[in-house]
Amino acid sequence: MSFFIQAIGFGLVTAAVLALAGVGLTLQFGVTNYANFAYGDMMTLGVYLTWVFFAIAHLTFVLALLLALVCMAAICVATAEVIMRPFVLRGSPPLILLIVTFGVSLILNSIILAIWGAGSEAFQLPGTQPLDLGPFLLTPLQLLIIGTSVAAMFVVHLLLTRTSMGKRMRAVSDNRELARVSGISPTPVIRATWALTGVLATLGGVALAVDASQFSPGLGEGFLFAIFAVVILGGVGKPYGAMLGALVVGVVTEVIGLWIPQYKLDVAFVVLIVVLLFRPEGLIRSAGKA
Amino acid sequence: MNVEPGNALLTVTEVRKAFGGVQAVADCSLSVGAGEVCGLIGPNGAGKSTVVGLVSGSVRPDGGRVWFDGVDVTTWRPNQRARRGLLRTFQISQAWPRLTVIENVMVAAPGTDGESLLAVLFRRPAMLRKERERWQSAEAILEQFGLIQLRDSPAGILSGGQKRLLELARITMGGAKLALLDEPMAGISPALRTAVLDQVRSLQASGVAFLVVEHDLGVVAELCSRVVVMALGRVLSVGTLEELRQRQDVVDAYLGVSNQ
Repeated sequence: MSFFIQAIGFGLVTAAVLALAGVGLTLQFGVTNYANFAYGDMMTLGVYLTWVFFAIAHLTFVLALLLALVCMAAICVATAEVIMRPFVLRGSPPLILLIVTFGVSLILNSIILAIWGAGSEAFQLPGTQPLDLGPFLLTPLQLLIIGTSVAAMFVVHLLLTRTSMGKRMRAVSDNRELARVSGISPTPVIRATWALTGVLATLGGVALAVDASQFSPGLGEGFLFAIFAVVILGGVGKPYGAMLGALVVGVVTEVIGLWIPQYKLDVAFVVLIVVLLFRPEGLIRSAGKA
Repeated sequence: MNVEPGNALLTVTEVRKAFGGVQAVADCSLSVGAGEVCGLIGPNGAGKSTVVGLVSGSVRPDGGRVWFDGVDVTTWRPNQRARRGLLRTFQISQAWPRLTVIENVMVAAPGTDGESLLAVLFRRPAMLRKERERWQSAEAILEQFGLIQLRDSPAGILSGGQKRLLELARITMGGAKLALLDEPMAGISPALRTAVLDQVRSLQASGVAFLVVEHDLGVVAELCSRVVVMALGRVLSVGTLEELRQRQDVVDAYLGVSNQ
């Protein structure tokens, strides 16, 4: 029984990582209307940038992370502007755009391999001694991951509901044509979304790397399909759905992982298939597209 | 034809548009004066909705020009036209289903100050104050359109008629000078019909001009001082509904059918 509760504890950590990454992916998917298969590599690049600022430039971890967030926001906006936008302007269908993101994925992954090599690195942060927290046994770093994720979700919520930009993001995601004829220019909204995506991808990647205690160039890519499971489970383009999806996938994978640890991530897809069989629109029922 | 023709609010000159091999609009010229309510009628397939698309900017014309508020807007994007006060509603009323009713109105507010994340980060007090002002104007508009009790509901749950009122609330917030209404009475319960008619009239009283595509001639008679009749992608005739009833070609093309 204690193993079971312990697994739920780990599940919350995984859920925290998945929520950070999943919300970034689903927001961009909703606003731009195509899936981004380079997202895993964007996460990884964010991790390496943080690591460069932290372990090589010897900045404090928080400062290193903040710098990496700014860089990744800029890199994601630049990628979208330089590579994706010409295809979008040409009216390419979502399938073509998805394949272009595969290309971006290869480019980013090759850049990472070329600069940092294929070996694994680690942040070597303090706080890896587990604390006894009632039924849970978690390290301070894992608690920090959960705290960061909850705080980030709250900030995303405020951004989406309290600011004009956030409302415009949701409007463009909900019905882009209506947004256009109502005077909302999609371009600045799409740019802001990519910036936010870069920030969340980096936070998710760093949380993943810190939780796994080491990372290599395949970090984000290996995790990408679990993130897609979270996004689809929550309903594409629905940030609150992704948060709930992350909680479900995180806890279920860790608990099932007690019995079949080698298939932990695959469990995410079993959950996805089972849920979609009964609720094709995802966990959160929307008020209907109209 | 690059000289601005006349001083109407909207002037459309000789626009045409083909989709594939189908000439949806073959030749359409019309104008709407400031504060005027102009009807656009014609049988199905006459090209009325395409004209609405051409004027709002969602459809690019193959030829011809669109002038609005003294400027040639032919090459303008829909969002640029909207910012100048040229707004539209849809045959099947549209809302952002996952935004609340008040958010649907707020997000249509003119101004570009919500378009930067940097403003959110570094000019937060000013940004939040602006947003509060938008909230207050949106609340007043919802009050005016009788939607205030639905303020915090997601727009996706509204009925067809309520969504129509929300569309009118949205274009009011957007600062419409001219509103294009594409079949405003489609899919609306009789009770909300009167509400929609009243709202259009009171917007007109406050200076908003309308171009109304409508099948129901009763509504056209009540609202429109002047009516444009289209058939097969061309403007057949322009006049008051009474004048048009006297014309045999108009009756043959359209009026006869619905008057039987």
